[in-house]
Amino acid sequence: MTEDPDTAPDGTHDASDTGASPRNAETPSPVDPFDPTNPQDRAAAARNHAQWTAEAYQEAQSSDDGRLRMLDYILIGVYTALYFALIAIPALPAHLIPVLMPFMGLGCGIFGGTAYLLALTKSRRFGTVTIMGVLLALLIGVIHGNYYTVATALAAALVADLIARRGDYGNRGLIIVSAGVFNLWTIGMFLPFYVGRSSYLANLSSTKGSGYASELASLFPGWLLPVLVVLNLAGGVIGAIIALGLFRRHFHRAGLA
Amino acid sequence: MRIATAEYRGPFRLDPRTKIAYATVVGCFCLGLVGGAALSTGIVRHVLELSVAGVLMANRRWRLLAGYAFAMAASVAVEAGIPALGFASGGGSRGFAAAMTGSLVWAITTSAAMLIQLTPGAITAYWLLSTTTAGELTTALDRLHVPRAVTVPLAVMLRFFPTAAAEGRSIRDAMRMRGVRFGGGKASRILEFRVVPLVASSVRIADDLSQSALTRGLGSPGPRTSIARIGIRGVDVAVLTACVACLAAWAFTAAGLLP
Repeated sequence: MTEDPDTAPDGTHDASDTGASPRNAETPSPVDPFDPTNPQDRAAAARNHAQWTAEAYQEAQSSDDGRLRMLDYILIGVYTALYFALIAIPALPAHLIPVLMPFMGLGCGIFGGTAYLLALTKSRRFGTVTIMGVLLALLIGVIHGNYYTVATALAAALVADLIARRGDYGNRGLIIVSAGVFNLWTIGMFLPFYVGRSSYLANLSSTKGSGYASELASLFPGWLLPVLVVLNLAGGVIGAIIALGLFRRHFHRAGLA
Repeated sequence: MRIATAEYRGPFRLDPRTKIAYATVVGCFCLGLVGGAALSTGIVRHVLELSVAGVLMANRRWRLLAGYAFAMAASVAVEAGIPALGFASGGGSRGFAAAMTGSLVWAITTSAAMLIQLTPGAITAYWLLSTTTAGELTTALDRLHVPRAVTVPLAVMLRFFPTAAAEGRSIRDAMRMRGVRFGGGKASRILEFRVVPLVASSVRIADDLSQSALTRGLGSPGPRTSIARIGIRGVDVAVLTACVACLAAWAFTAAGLLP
């Protein structure tokens, strides 16, 4: 039996082989990753393919160019919901008992600081706090119908994000300051008393009774606005400090934060 | 609380975008009180309040309709009845009993006024959320070109609120078994025992949600497909035209063309 030079001893060439094997061609044909012609290329192609999908998965997981990924969107959703649940605790008495209304910012800052710090420290990217502010503006605007709160929520969230970014989301002092600034969104709920005061009070007295309107007007005199700003900042700062204490006492040990 | 789970399939099925537009209009007129005290916008407001009842009837939510009707009727009765019965609002200087009834009356009047303002919008929002599945809502928001950075967190919030409420209830029960009640100790200790487990479970829930989202391919770029059946039909055109008519009435009133 004559030795056919084109037939390899292991018999990998089948009847459909035209004889132009890769070793005889002038230009090497590219290895098709889904069907290479010999086992070594097939194994190498399989390894390449697996590595390619693993790399693509890693890429999708952690885009290091600083853009928000799906994990960040989910964190924003969960912690904004938690933020709403936490600030409902001080907001309910503040709305029912008018004397407590100026202290609503203080309460919201103290209670909501935990959710804010969790979102910030787990995500560590620009845009997380901003989108939290957008959702806050959207939902509070829908619930309360107050346009000023939309503006203050967006502005406060953006400034808080920029402040925290300065310290690369790791500087403890800057994070505390940014929590204080973020809490300034509650000022929007009281801005109608100061911007266009008379028309707002007239509207209020026509819908809710003059007793309610005059009592609220006496609670919010003109000089209270800077005091409200200071109270809100203090509330945010206290909330952040409490949250950092909670992290140290409970969450670091459990590996949750 | 059946949020984002039920799907209504009757003849009055509205596209989620139409529902959002309708809820926004009801909210603007009833909660935001646009148009002030003018006559036309007042008429539009009452029409919208009645339309909420009509929508609930069309969707066969009888218990919700009964609750809405009761709340509105009670608030209107209180608002009309209290001045008619001669009570003065606000505390007086006629003695403790008079002051107590005065502030009680004031509290009732304020609650009634707040109920009238809040109830139509709240009922409409609840109807919107309970007759729309999460997939329908997300797809409708995608069609409205809302960025994914807003729709994904909104969907997660919708999914998370009932879970957080259930977690809060089971934490309350667990803590009650250990003797941590509302009356039995320092307030800060009680809050710490209620809030910290809730936060810890929310962290774990966030990890679970992100894993399931990545498994479902939400991490990849490009448009999503959905099996939600969404489209503008005749009913949608009618409802959208009515919403535009309400807003036009407000615009004309603001321009002074209507009383």
